[in-house]
Amino acid sequence: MLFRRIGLFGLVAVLAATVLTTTQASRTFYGVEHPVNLLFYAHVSVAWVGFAGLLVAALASAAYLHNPVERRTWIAQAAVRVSFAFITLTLITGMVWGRFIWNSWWEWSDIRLVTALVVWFVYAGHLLFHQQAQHATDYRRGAVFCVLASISVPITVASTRLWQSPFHGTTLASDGVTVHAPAFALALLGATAVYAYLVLLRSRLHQAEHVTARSREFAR
Amino acid sequence: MTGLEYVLAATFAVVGLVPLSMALRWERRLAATLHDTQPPPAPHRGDVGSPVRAGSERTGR
Repeated sequence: MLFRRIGLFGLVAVLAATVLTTTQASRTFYGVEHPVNLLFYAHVSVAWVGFAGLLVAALASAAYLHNPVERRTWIAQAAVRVSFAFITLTLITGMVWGRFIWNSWWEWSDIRLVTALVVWFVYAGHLLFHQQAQHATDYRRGAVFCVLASISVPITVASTRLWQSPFHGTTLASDGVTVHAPAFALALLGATAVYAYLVLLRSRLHQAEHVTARSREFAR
Repeated sequence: MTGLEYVLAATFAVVGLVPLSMALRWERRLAATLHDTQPPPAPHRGDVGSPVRAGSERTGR
């Protein structure tokens, strides 16, 4: 199936990015040389793809509200689920990096960290809501939730430009960061392909389980 | 290795293992679900309880 080929491509790209990063990329960020700086490539890739995926979920939810085709809500749910995992990884890698470089796991005074955590809680709520959903009305409410929750995504992405951020600067635009462009491009491409594979796999699983449940109901 | 270096190594492992475990779990669930929806295999000649009766291999009677 096509989505498995996408997944395989993503795996190869991620492995190539890992080799390129560990052998070629600079370990000095903001004047500090440490292997933890290599986490940048994973952190930024999963963050960008995770947040972009939430916008895909919002678009699929809006499309479902416009015309309630079940496939759209499955794609939206799958995108939220995978994005939630990616944002969790973003928070974990960010915290570990902060512990080495800032000597602190978490800074409540930093707007980017706090807004990212708000997004995490909002979508944790969305996942819990969808676990209880059984009827079309629930799916519609979930879709409205998803569209409204997506407002938190651009706020988080733009937070370092909108407000003073004492720790987390604008990563790529910063003078202290020298990014190995091919390694970063491969990491981003790999993360995008892995994301697409997981979303397509999960929505295919939703579809298969739905068909099985329906045929069992029909057989009774 | 210091404690923090173990944390760093574990973080790199988690970044790789989380998507991998999601993929494996869902692939297994998908395979099981698709297996459930498959129709049962057609009965073979000579099977116990098969409506297809056993007969002569040569003549088919």
